[in-house]
Amino acid sequence: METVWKKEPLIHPRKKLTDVDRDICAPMESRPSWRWYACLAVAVSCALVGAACVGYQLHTGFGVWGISYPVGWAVDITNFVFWIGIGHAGTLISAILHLFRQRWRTSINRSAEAMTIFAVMTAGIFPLIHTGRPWYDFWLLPYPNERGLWVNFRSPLLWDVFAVSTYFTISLVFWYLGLVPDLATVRDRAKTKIKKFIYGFLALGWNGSERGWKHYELAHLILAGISTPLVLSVHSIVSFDFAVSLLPGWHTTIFPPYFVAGAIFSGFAMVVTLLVIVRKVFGLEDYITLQHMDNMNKIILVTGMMVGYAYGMEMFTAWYSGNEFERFTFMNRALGPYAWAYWIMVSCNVLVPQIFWSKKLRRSIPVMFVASLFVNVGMWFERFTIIVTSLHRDYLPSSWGMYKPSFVEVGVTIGSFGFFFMWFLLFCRGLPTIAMSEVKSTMHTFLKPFGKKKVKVVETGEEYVF
Amino acid sequence: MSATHFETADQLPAVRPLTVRGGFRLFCIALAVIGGVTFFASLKANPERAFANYLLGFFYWTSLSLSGVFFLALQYITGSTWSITLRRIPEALVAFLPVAVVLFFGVLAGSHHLYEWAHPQAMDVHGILQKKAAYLNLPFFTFRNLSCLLIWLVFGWLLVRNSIRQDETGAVSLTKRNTKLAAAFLLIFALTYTFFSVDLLMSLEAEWYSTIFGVYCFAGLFLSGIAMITVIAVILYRRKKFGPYVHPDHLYDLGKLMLAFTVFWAYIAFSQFMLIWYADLPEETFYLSKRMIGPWQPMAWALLIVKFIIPFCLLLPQGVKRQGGYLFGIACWVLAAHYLDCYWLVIPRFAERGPIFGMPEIGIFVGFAGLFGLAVSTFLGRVPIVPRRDPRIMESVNFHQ
Repeated sequence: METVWKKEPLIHPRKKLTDVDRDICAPMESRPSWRWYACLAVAVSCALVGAACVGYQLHTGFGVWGISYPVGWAVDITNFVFWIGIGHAGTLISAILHLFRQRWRTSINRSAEAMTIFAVMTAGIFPLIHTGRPWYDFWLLPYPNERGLWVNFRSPLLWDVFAVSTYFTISLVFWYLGLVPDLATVRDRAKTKIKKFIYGFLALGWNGSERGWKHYELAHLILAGISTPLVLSVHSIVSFDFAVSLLPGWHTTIFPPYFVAGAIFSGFAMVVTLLVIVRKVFGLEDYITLQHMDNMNKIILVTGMMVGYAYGMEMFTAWYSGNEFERFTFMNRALGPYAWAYWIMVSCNVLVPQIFWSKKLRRSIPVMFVASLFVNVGMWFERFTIIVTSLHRDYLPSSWGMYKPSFVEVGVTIGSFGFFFMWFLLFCRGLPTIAMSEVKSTMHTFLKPFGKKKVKVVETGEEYVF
Repeated sequence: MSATHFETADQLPAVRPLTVRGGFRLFCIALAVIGGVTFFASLKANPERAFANYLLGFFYWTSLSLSGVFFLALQYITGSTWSITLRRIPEALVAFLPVAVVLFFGVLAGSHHLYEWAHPQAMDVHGILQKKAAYLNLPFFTFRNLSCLLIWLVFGWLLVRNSIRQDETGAVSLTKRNTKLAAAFLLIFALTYTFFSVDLLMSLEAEWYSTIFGVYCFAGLFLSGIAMITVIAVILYRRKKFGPYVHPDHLYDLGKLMLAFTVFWAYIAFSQFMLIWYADLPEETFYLSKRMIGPWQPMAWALLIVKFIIPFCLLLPQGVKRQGGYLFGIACWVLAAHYLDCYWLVIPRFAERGPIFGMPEIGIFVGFAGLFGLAVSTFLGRVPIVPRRDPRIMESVNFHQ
C-alpha cells in the first residue's frame, strides 16, 4: 500500500485523558488574573453606559433616539437582528453538526452554546426597549385579560416573540443538559465545601452510572433534533419581520434562507473571535487546535459566499423584475447616501472571507482574528443597510428622509457589547469552557487486554473534516 | 451490523464493471423511441404541449444528471468517506450530460412556442418585458444555457476521469485534484444553475420574479439526485453487485439525506409561498394563483402532501432507512413527486384550464428516461462498480454508525 491518508488528530496527541479535566477545570480552580478583572471592568462599564442610556430614554421619552419618520427602525432593530444572528452558530454547532457526525464540534460547542444564550439575552433587550414603555412589554404575550385585548397573531413580530423565547428556552436546556456530566466532574474536583455544594447542586446528583449516561445520550439526541429546526426557523421568522411587508428591499422571497446563512456566518465569526482569545488566555491550544479554527474558517468562507449569492440575486432580480421601485432601491443602496454602509457590507462579508481559500491563512491566528472582526462589522452593516436604506427612500420622494443615530443609540449599542462580554467573561471562569466528557469521547482511548497487564492504546487519528 | 470488517485494502475483493443485460438496453432504446415518436406526433397536433413536455423532461433529467456532479463535488469538498463505495453511481448520472447538451437544441427549437419573450412583437407591446429585453433574448439565452451545460460537462468529465484514473494508480493526488475541482465547480454551479432555472422555468412567465427561485430548483435537484442514487444503489445492492462494499449503513445515510432535503425543499417552498401570499402583490401572486386557485388547486395540495408530508412521515422512523426495499419505494416516490413539482411549474402556463395528462406527457417523459437509462447503464457497464483504489476506501467499507 503506497497510499497513506494523513489525518490530523482532533486533540493534540500529547494530551491524555487525565489531562483533560485538569486543563479545562484550571480556570475555575485558580484565582482570576488582573487581566480578567480588567476585561470585566471594561465590559461592565460599557454595559453600564448602555443601562444609563436606556434609563435616559425611558425617563425622557423615545424622542431621544435618532429614529423618526420615515426611518422608524434603525440601530435598535439592527442590533436585535445582529445579536440573534450571532447566536445561530452555537445551535448549528451543537445540533446540525452533531447530526452530521462532525466530531470536531466537541471542542467548541460548549462556548458556542454559551455564546448563543448570551447573544439571545442581549438581542432580547432591543425589542423590549423599542416598545418605548417596557413596563407594558407583557402585552406581547397572548393571555386572557379583562380588557379583552389580544395580540395580533397575524404579525411576524408576534411570531418573533414565540420564536425567540422558544429558541432561548431550548438552547438553555440543551446547554445545561450538556453541562451536567462536566459539572459533576467539577464537583468531584472541588476543594472547598461551598464550591462542592454549588456545583453538586447544579450537577443534579450525576454519578456517571450507565443508566445515567443512557438517558443523557437519549435526551441529548432528542434535544439536538428539536434544536435543528430552530436553527432555520428563528432567523427565518426574523426575516419575515421585513419580508412580509410591501417595501422594496424588504419584500423579497430569498430572505429566509439568506438570513439564516448570514446568521451562521456572523455567528461563526463571533465564535472565532472569542475562541482565539479563550484558547490563548486559558492555554487550551491543544484542545481547540488549528484544525478546529480551520474548519470554522471554512464555514465562514462558505456562508460568506452564500450571503454574497443573496446580494447578487437581490441585485439581479431587482433589475430583472422590471419594477422601477425595486430597481431604484438597489441602485440607491449601492450609489445613494448610504452607499458607504452597503460597500462596507459587501467588502467585509464577501471579499474579506475570500482569503480563507488559502490554507495558510485559514490557520493563521492573527489573520483569522482580524478577518472575523471584519465579518462582525460587515454583518452589522448588512442589517443596517437592509433596514435603513429601504426605509429612508420608499415609493414617494416627498416622504424621503435621512437617519442619523443619536448618542443614546450609540450608547445602547456599546452597552449591548458590554453586556454580552460581561456574561461571557463570567462564563469562562465559572463553568468549563470545553465539553470535557465529549472531548474525551473523541480521543479514542481504549484498553486492550494484553495478558495480565492492561496496555493503553491511544489512537490519534480522527476525522478528516471538510 | 453483519458487514465484514477489513483490516487492509489488500483484503478487498476485486471489482468488475456491471454486466448490463441486453434486455435492459433494449427496453431503454424502446422508451427513447416511444419518446421520439410521441414528441413528433404531438408536435403536429399541439406543438405547445409537445414542447412544454419536452422542456419539462429536459429540465428534469438534466437536473438529475447535474445532481451527480453536485453530489460528487460535495463529497470531495467535505472529505466525506461514507459515500466512496457508492461513488460510481453519481458518476454514472453524469454520463447523461453530453446527451443533454444535444437535447438542449430541442428547447431552442421550441422557444417560440414556450417563451412569450421570444416573440419580438410581444416584446414591443409589453412594457415590463421591454425592460427585460437585454436579458431575455434568444441569442443571449442560447449563449448562457449552452455555456452552462458545457461548463458542467467539463467539470463532470474531469471529476469522473480523475476518479477512473485512480482505479489504475490509486494516487492520492487525484483525490486532492478533484477536491480543488469540486470547490471551483460548486462556486460556478451556484450561479449557473440559478440562471439555468431562471431561464428555462422562471422566464416561462416572463413577468414573474422571485429571488429564491434558483434555491427552490436547487432543492429539487439535490432531493431528486439523492433519490436517483438511492434507487440505483438499492437495485445494485439487492442484486449483490457490490459485494461487501456496500451495506445497510450506507443506505441509511442516503435515507437520512433524503429526509433532510425533503425538509429543505419544503422550507424553501414555504418561504416562497408565504412571502408572496402575505404581501399579496398582484405582480407576484398571479404566478401562484394560476397554480393554486381554480382547476390547479388539487395539484397544489397534492404537491404539499406528495412531496413533503408523505416522504417526511415515511422517512422519519430510524430503522426503516436501513431496509433497501423500503428505501427504494420512497426514493421512487420522491422521484415521482419531483416530476409533479416540475409539472406544476411548467404546465399551468400552457394549460390554464386545468391539468392535462395523456400520451404526450407520458411518452415524452419516458423518452428522456430511456436515454438517461442508456447513458447511465453504459457508464456502469464500462468501469469497475466500486472505486476500489481510492485512498480512503477503507473508511467507507468499514463505515458503521
